[in-house]
Amino acid sequence: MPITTKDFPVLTDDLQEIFNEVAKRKVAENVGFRIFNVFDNERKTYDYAALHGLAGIQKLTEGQDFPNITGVEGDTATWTQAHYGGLVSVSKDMRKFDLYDKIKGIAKSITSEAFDKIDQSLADVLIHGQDTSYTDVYSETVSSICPDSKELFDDGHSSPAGSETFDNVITDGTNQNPALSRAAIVNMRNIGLTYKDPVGLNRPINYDTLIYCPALEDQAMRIVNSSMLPGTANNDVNPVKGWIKNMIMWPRLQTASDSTDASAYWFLADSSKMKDVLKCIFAERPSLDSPDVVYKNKNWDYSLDFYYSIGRGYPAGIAGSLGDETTP
Amino acid sequence: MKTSINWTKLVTQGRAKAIGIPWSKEEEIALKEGISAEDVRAGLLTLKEVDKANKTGEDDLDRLPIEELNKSAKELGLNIDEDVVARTDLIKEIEKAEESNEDLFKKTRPELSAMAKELEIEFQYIKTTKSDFVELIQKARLK
Repeated sequence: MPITTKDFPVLTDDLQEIFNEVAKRKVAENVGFRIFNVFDNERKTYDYAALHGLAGIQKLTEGQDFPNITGVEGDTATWTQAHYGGLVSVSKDMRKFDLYDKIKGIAKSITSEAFDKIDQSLADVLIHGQDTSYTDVYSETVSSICPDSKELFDDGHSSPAGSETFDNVITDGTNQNPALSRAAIVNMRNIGLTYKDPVGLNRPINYDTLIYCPALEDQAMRIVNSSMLPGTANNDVNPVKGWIKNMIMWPRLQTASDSTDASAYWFLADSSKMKDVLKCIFAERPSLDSPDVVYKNKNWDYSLDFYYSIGRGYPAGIAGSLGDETTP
Repeated sequence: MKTSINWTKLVTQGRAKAIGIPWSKEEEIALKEGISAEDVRAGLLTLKEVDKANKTGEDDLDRLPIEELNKSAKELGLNIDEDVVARTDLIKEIEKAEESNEDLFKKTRPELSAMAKELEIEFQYIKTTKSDFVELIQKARLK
């Protein structure tokens, strides 16, 4: 039986249900939402300011006024929201010939696409972490620099707060951008734990999270999960097993949306700090809205749209490698 | 989506080459060697090149720190906003102003007096020196 104007509210409810179902599944599946700090902000722009080396704890004499905690202001950045969307068109043919499966398929597909593109846009942030700009999943050229004008992964991050620089390109002690290896993780743990903030105070970065793509999954599992040293005949314990608390396999890290092959790329993060660095800010989360009117071409156009932006803060908390031993 | 960072501040602090242009790897190496940001901006990437430039005095404006450029601009009567003006634009304006000054100094006192009249500047010819005329004309042009 054809779908008629009378059925409009029912179809709308059905499509909404499909949207909710797919959205729920995608939110659970999308790895980017576990790595980025995802939050809502009503404003079109978000003003970020890095605060370095909040200092003020001092020895107090009896009755002394507490000293003011002073912040050394770091670099600033402004991230502007952009609007993305598309239409789910239910044509007259679909309704007349009761192509309900096709209607459902289109709604499922566009909802899935919205969340897939958001997740890929987040994966591209890591993949292009050693570029100053790249073409994103929406075919737009976007800047990928941090507030200090350096790439996300750079061997000379600087700050106005002091002369200390920060290197978050993974190194194994000999080469920068090494392939995923136990030696590189061990070396980065040492570098992270002895990290000094821009004012020279040791603020350890505990690289406890390994992020990789499917191509590196087997190797990552062997390096981290082996109870003895992997690939050797000796009986020494494998301390990496205890250090790495989270292993995050992100399928979208294998290839960027601009087809960059990232199958050798891998990343280390401090789970307590990575969300201070990577931000995903929504002014409006994806939603499906029904049309108010039935249009002249007799299509019923349901719109799916959202507003969001991506931000990169001062990146003390995440490190990356291209896995090819190149100099950044 | 768009990311905007405070380029003006980064350039002023010597942490970026120019607005929208970070340092290249070669330039970063030169900075680490202790060459000043101004010299690196002027294309001097080795200490040898810096020594040579010091001897010949070439690219003087390009090598001046931003504070010195701001000071020169003020002395030349340029109306600038120090917080936002790009270094390259500032150098261009200073060069233009200096050229224009040189042209004025080439003129004779009667020629300068005629120019001042055209600009409706009030003056007493007897009491006004050549450099006074130049200053008055510069100020009138800025208005």
